[in-house]
Amino acid sequence: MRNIWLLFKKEILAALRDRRTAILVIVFPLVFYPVMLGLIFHFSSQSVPTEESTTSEVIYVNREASPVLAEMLRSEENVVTTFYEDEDAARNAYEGERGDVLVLVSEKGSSGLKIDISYRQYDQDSEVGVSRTRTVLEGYLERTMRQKLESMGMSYEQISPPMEVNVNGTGDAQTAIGGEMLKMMLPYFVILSIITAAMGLGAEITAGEKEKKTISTLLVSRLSREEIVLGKFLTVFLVASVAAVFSVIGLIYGLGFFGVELPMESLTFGIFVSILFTVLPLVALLSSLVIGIGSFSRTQKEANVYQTPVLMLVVLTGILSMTGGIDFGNIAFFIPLLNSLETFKELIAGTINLFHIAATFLTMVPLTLLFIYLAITLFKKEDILFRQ
Amino acid sequence: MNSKSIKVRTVDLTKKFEINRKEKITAVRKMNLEATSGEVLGILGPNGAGKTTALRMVSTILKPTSGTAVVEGNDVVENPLEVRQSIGYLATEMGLYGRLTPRETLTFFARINGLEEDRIEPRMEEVFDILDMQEFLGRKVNNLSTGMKQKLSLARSIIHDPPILIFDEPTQGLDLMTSKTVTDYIEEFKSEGKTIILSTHIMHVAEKLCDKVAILFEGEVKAFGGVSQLLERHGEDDLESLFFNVAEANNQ
Repeated sequence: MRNIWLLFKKEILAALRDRRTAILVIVFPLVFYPVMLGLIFHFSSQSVPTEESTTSEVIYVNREASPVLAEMLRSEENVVTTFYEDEDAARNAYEGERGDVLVLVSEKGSSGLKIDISYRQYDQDSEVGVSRTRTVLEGYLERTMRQKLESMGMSYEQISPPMEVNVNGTGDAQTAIGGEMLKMMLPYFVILSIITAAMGLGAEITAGEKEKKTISTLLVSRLSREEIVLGKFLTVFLVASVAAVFSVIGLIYGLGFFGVELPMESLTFGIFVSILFTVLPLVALLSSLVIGIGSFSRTQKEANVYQTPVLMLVVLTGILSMTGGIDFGNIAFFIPLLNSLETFKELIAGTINLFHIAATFLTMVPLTLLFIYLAITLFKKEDILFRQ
Repeated sequence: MNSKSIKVRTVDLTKKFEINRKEKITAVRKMNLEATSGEVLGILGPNGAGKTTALRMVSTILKPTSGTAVVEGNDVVENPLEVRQSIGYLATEMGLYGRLTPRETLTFFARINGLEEDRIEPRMEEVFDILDMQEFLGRKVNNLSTGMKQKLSLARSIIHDPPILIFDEPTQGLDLMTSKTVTDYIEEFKSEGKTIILSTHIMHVAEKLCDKVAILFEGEVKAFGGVSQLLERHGEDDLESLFFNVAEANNQ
């Protein structure tokens, strides 16, 4: 243990003096990722129109078909209605995006109306406009029905179902948005911080040792090959863990800085401990993988090439977890990498599922041990260690 | 020469490398050498003769394919950790950690080579004095000159005060001044009673330092013995002539 500790201390000292480590462990998680995420949130929240802030422009054709409906639409709050007689001119205006919604009204039968509504599905302003138009049409329908029923000696209330619907929004919308963002984004950025920190350092202290020919000085010391690999693994593990912690701090403060309120009260001590049991195996697995790759590679450059698929796999898993693209059910908690991210998401949402935590832990730890064993085996192979 | 004073002995030491699945090359073939205390054994040969491979086997970096080497009574295959504690190894490449200072480098290597904590500081001071390193102890290795780096490499190999020093091409790539400094230190280590095995293809370095030489061609020892005995046996005046004489015989 003493030898592992000595090597670990030496590696940490050298890593601390490396500008690249500082960038990957401090600048990326504490500054770059939070700023990036904050800006995404800032601009996306600005571009989302709200009912209150948006004025919908409705292009309406054939006012004469129903002056009542035309008037109702004209007098609707936050709706500006432009009336056209000529359908082609109205369509041109709609296609030229001079209106959010196109309403074509024509007579149907003796007293009926046919109404065609067009809106742009990709345009959020247009969606708000069509929603408002629908509300006006529902009002018009109710009014017409009342009039017809009254002429038949019946009241609208008599035939309408005895039902009252009240929709109430609950909770703080800002905090809910913040919680969702944290749940969705944090695991992804944490795993990204871990892998970027582990990759740079891992390649340098394994393949880099061979490239710079410092490896023989370790091989003729009293360090065993096992101690060399474990010392290096612990170095990458610590640095990547620090990067993970910094990315959590960075994102929480970063999102707060950009005005996203987070549900911090749900992050209890139990959740914190559970997060450790979920994230540390993830750090260990990625660290051991990086050390294994570095032990096989002749140069740092070669190690970086072999690391690329791992990085892509991590990014893909992160995106999968972030978007919830495929529903694996409980199997997700036995899929390495994905299980950590999914459990992490649950924990951020305030749910401690011991089965998921245990499944994650028990899947990741044996795999980590396997990669460490492989790295030791590679370190014992002369044809790998001194490959030309 | 009595058997107790033998510090390093190789017995039919052989190393084969696999080039591909079908082809193997023999880098060192049945090497039998020995070096006693206070003796400098030079391994001479052209590039690719097997000098570095032989030294790496004696240093436990490589495992012999067959045969063995015994260093300070310990077999290199059976007791590699004990062997490592009794040797100081200087590779052809300096292999230094650029972001550490010389003091940090030496503290690290003193510890991982098993020097007791209370002996580290006094031993470091001793080594700093021997190699005249005081002026650059606090600088990062990346900022040192080649000569300073070579001094540090030497210091690293002797910091745990091993009885046996193995130097692979210790003057390669050095300017004349630095090269002379290194050879002077090797003489000093010799005068301290250390056993030194060094490889070189620079004959005047070997002539100046070595008590015994082994001349290697294509992995085989073609001549081995005391320098004066070999010169006498082959009727030559200096090592360079002897080397070419052996080389010629090898080519025939």
